[in-house]
Amino acid sequence: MMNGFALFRGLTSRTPATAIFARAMSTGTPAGGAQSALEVRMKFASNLNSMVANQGASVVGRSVPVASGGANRAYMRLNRILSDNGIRRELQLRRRYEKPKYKRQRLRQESHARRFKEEVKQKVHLIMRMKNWGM
Amino acid sequence: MDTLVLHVHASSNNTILSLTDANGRVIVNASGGTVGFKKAQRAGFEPAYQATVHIANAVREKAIPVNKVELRLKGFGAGRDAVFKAVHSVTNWAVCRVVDTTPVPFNGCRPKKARRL
Repeated sequence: MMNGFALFRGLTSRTPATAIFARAMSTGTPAGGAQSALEVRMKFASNLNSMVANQGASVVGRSVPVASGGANRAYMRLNRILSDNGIRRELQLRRRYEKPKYKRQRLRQESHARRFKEEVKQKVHLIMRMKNWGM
Repeated sequence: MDTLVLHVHASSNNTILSLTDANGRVIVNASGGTVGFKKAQRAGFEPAYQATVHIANAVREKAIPVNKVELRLKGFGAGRDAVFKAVHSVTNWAVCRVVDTTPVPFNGCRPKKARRL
């Protein structure tokens, strides 16, 4: 089942997404009607395209169709999308030019803060679990 | 055209509303200035709300059939929330889609220099 691509990437078919991808990307055995790699890729792309929710809209991303929940839910969902992707923050940063020196400094600080917070989170989780075990 | 589009340009200084058809041809315009506010007062909740009311009245007077409205929001000014709330409280339009069209450059033009140098 695992093709050369999957083996190369060390993917197992335990995770569903990778299995689907590996299966979709496999060009098939010569006996079973081989497709060229390009054909396989085009078909995969068109399958992904059909799964996009915003088919009829002129703007695909950052676009939320109003469903049974009402326009309020859609608006909240849109705000969620924007905040998750940091659109607002990105626009704030882009308002004024940030010189390369300050950009490097900021990225270093953010990376450090992210790693530190991750460590703290792990320690806290461990302590909570130990508390549940009764230690 | 079936779906009308309400373009909302909500900047930090003003809110400009445009009701267009699906192709982008403008039907009604309104902004903080057209409803009587001047200069700095155009930015805010109240002018944006009144601008939406203005558009709703104009649509009613011109007897334009409104089936579905797509809301296109641009910018993060105070008018953004205001227009959304106004559309629900003042009009009875069926909003079919909410879109954010704030222009985000993929590293395009160089912005102005940082202040306080």
